[in-house]
Formats: sequence, C-alpha cells, structure tokens
Amino acid sequence: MAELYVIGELVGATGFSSKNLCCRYSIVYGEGWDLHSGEATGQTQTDYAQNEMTIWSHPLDLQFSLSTILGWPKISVQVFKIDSYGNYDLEGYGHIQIPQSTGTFNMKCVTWKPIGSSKEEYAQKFLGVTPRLANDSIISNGDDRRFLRTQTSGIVYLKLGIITREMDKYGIVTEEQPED
Amino acid sequence: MSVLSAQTRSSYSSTGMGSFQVVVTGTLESVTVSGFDNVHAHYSFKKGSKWQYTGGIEEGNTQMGSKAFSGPNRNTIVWNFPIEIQFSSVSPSGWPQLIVTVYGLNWLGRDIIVGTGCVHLPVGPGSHELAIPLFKPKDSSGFHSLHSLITGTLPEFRDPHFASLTTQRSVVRTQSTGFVRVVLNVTFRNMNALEYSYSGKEYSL
Repeated sequence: MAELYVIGELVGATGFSSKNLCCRYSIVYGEGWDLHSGEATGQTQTDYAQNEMTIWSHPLDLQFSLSTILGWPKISVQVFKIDSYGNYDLEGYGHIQIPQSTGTFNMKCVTWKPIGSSKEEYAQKFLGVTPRLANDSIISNGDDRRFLRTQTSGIVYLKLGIITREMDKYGIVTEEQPED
Repeated sequence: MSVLSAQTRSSYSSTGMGSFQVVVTGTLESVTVSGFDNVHAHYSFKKGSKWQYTGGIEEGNTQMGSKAFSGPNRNTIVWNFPIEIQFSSVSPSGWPQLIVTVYGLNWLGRDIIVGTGCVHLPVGPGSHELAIPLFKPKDSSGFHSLHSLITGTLPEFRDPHFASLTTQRSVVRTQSTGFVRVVLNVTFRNMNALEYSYSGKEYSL
C-alpha cells in the first residue's frame, strides 16, 4: 500500500486575545486510511509568551497507509486560553488539509469561534464561559454551518514535512509534473 | 560521544537492504534571546526506535558566547558551532529531532536554563535554515516563583528530552524565550531505491 509520512511541528500561534494559550489537535482521516504510528490526538503545553508569538513547538510524526485518495488527512485544532484564575476558555477552532505533495510546508491555520446568544455573550463577559460547539466534528467536515454565527480569531502556525512511498506504483500523481 | 571513525564499522551492517541513510551537516549559528549576556548550548538528537546512528557526533556543547560590544544585533549571540551526524533507518517514522538546550549565566555566575527547543530535522535534501523556538518551564505557583527567586534554583524539566515528546505536554506550563538559528545541509542515500518520494522544496502557504 502507498504510504504517507507527515513529520513536523505545531509551531505556535498569534493574533488571539491572550498570549497564554494551549492547543488541542486531532488528526481526521477517511475510510481507507490507517494511522500506523503517531498520536491521533494530543494537547500542547500551555505557553506564556514573552514575545508576540506563542510557542508550542509540539512535534508531529505520523505514518499513514492509504488505499484511496479520498479522505486525505486533516488536522483539526482547538485553541484555548488560560485566564488569570487558571480556567481554560475556547479561543478558536480551525482545520488544515495535510499537503499532498512532498516537501516542507509552513502553513497558517486561520481560526474562528462561535458567537452565542446575547445571554451567552453576557455570560462570556462576566463569567468567562465561552460558547463551544456541541459536536467537534463540524470543525473539519463539510456539514452545513448555515445557522452558525462565528467571530474571526487568531492564526495557528504549522510546519509539516511530507514524504510519500510507492505513490508512483499505484499511479497516484500528487504534484505537478515537469513538462518535457 | 562517539567519533566518526569508531562508528564506521557498524554502518556497513545497517546499510543492508531496506535501509536508507540521512546525513546532516550544519552549523548551530546563534541564539536570539533577551536578558542574558553569556550563553552556551547543549545539543543532542532524539530518534525513533527504527533509527540508528552510523557516524558523526551525537551530542555536544558549544562554547560560552558573549554579546557583541557594539553593532545592530545586541540580542544575538553567535556560536558558529559545527554539527555533523549520520543516521540509518528502515522507515521515516521516528524521524530524528534536534534538541537544543541553552544555558545562561545569572548575576551570581551560576548556570541557569534559558530555554529548550526541539525541531525535526528537515525531511528533504538541500540547505535549510531553521529557527528553533526556545521555551522553559514555568513556576507552578506563586510560592514556587518566590522560592526560586530566593534560592536561585529555577524549575527545569526532569526529562531533558521533554521538548521532543508528544504526550505529557498538556500538564506543563512554559514560557517562550527566544530562538536558536541553525543552518542544516541534508543528504539522502538509498531513498529512491526504496520507492520513497521526497522534496527539498520549502513552501510558505
């Protein structure tokens, strides 16, 4: 079977309302894909940034085997901030597609967070309770989001290196071919 | 610490069918950090169980570097320390990581931790410039920060390879402190024969 290796880091984040952040991630992939090694879910440390960028530098090392191209893996991220009382509040949801061609990719994942009803917004302001999604799978699947209202949040940075194996053998082309 | 010549014999046995080699040469150039005038670094590698060292130097210490007296980059301290290492493996899974721990001198002349950083070595051949972000553990409470202020013993990771771990991170609080600049040249051998596809290109999306 063809194989995909994803090696890199969840580097950090900028642009959130706090610089004291942590990130929870999960790898989402379709049927016909198997994750042979690596963590499918994880959580970074909480970083208290001195500079403008929060740093996690969380290593990712994933090995997949694939029998179909559909369902190419994605990384879904949830960013939380820690407030002065030590509570974690939601700061953003986002997902990125793992690149299909080989090489090293410096990627930006833009994020959003839900806007609640006016009652929930007051609760957020005074109690620090942020509205969250009941079902996290909507972050990365294409389900209808028509009735969701969201607010723009910060950017999560990832650096992903891609190595593939035996793609040619199965006739899979993942990058532009040089014309000759 | 192993020397190139001592390890070459074992490299023949692990270069059999089914394994590929990754050779990395480069320079630990400098660190950009504020608040320290004198810093030195320790570097090592963390690799998966399928990987072997087949040559080069596995870990080392840089000299103690000081800031320049004048010039534009007062926050950058140069080491220009060479790195040379060779790995052999049967699978890219467990790709080696470079761990750099930077130590500085406090006003009592004691070594204290400035930060630890860890990145995967580049997964494509060619020259790569890396900025390794540094972070250090944070005091877990106000009492601890007072204690470390009085005694001068700052919190440190019990496991020096903590920065390379993917689990156990969620319970830790850290403070990011600066960057180490590293330039690495990567060469692959035998990877095409094993039907791997790779690229040395770097994209910013």
